Amino acid sequence: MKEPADRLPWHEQWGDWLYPLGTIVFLVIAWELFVRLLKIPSYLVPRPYDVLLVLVDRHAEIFAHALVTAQEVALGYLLGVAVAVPCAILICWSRLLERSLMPLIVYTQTFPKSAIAPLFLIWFGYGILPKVVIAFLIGFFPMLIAMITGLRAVEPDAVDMIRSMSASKLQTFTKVRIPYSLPFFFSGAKVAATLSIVGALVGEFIGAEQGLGYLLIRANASLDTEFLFAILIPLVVLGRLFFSFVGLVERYVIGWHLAAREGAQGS
Amino acid sequence: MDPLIDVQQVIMRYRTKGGPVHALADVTLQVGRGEFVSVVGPSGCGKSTLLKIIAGLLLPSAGQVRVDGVRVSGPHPGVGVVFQSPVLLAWRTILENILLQIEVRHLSKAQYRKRALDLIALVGIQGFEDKLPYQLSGGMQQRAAICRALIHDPPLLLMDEPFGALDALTRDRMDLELQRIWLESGKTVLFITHSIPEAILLSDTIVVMSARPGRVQELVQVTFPRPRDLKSLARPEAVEAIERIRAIMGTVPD
Ligand SMILES: Nc1ncnc2c1ncn2[C@@H]1O[C@H](COP(=O)(O)OP(=O)(O)OP(=O)(O)O)[C@@H](O)[C@H]1O
Ligand SMILES: [Mg+2]
Repeated sequence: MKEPADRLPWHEQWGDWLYPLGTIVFLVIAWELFVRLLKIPSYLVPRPYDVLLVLVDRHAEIFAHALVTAQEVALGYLLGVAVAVPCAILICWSRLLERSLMPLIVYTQTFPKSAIAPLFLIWFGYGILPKVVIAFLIGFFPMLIAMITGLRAVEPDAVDMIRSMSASKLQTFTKVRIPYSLPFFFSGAKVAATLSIVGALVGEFIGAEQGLGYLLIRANASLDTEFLFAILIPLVVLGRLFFSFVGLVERYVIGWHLAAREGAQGS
Repeated sequence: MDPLIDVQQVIMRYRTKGGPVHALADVTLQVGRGEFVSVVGPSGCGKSTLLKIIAGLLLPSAGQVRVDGVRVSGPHPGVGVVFQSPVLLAWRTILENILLQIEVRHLSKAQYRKRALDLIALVGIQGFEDKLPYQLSGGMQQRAAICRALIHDPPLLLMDEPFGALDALTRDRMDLELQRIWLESGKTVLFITHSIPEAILLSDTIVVMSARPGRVQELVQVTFPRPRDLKSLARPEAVEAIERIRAIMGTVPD
């Protein structure tokens, strides 16, 4: 499917990695110098090197808690996908459902879902379940709305085209409307990937015995700023890994769309 | 014999937010079996609308359409439609796009594969069967769309400006190819075009429509012998017919 492109020079080939990496190195050095020269106390802003030491020192503990958070996010997110996709299809299948539900769904967009997080703690206790539910709820709506938008954005001509073949309603969905909606769905799915991490963290802030959010609260309570900063690093990594994973699935499922878009831009 | 397509007093009003759009005003039209009929008329006069109504994709506001004696109430079998734009599915290769027709109609894809490849060669896009649509030019995509309309060998072809996006030379070639297919297969063709010479080259009857709301203004019979070629267009009958259609389209009906 992909044409072998002409080879780029090495610094262009790795450019997507090298240039941002350079920026990071520069920022870390600037930070170190800034803290040293201005003699900022470490409980306000620690030095990057000290943060790194804490990270190495307490890596086992951090890793164990990161796993819990990752689990909550993954479960909540997958549940979100599993519910959002069929719901979107169902809603667009019937004109009645679409007209009665869609305005309400759009309304929930503006509602801050984390506001009901404390309620979930009352209902589901202090384990991972309430966090999974919050991660689910926060990720679910953007995916649902993106998928519905995609199902509605189908070219009318494409529907006419397959209908002219005496296609059933099921066929117009499976062969035209659902594939058409997937690029929309994935843009929602990427937004949801970052949001569900926020969801799990909010859950952990409110009440937890495990997870990175719980560690952050603990570090905060003891003014252990170095530890606090050290916990941010696995959070960044977790977010990045998760986002990349969704991107990978996207590349696999709608490679045709990405190829066509890149093709249209000219390589 | 009764006509294959029988359009009786069809009126079409689109309901839109900004009020109704009156697209067709009382169109009555017959197309005989095996006949090649072209429709010409100013842009926006409802040609595509008429084609979609005959295909069963749109229900008229009033009047009725029969195809093969059966009242059209939805998409019907035995039709191949070429739309004004190619509408290929971006995630399917050209061959898979053509075979969509076979897939949807629950026919055997293995059986139609060879026919698909023959059609691809016929329209001159061989070598592109495994490419995705974006890798083809607009004109090539439109030719793939023609293969898709022909693959199941339908007795009725509905074509909405199928060659509008092609360069002049390819268009001439495709016109002659379509004439050959039509002569060999005995299909009935309803063909929308903006080109009067193209209509004369291909048609038995040319339907001239008035500006919106569209109605049939005049039927022009083209009788000179087939197979016709580009030189036929220089014949006095052809020149006269072109002049006549131009004159009809130029006059504003009251
Ligand atoms: N889905 C629609 N909703 C509302 N109005 C429509 C719709 N489709 C077409 N129309 C209107 O109906 C009229 C006829 O449209 P149609 O596409 O049939 O014209 P046409 O003769 O095929 O034009 P062209 O030669 O430019 O393709 C136009 O005024 C158009 O704006
Ligand atoms: Mg049209």
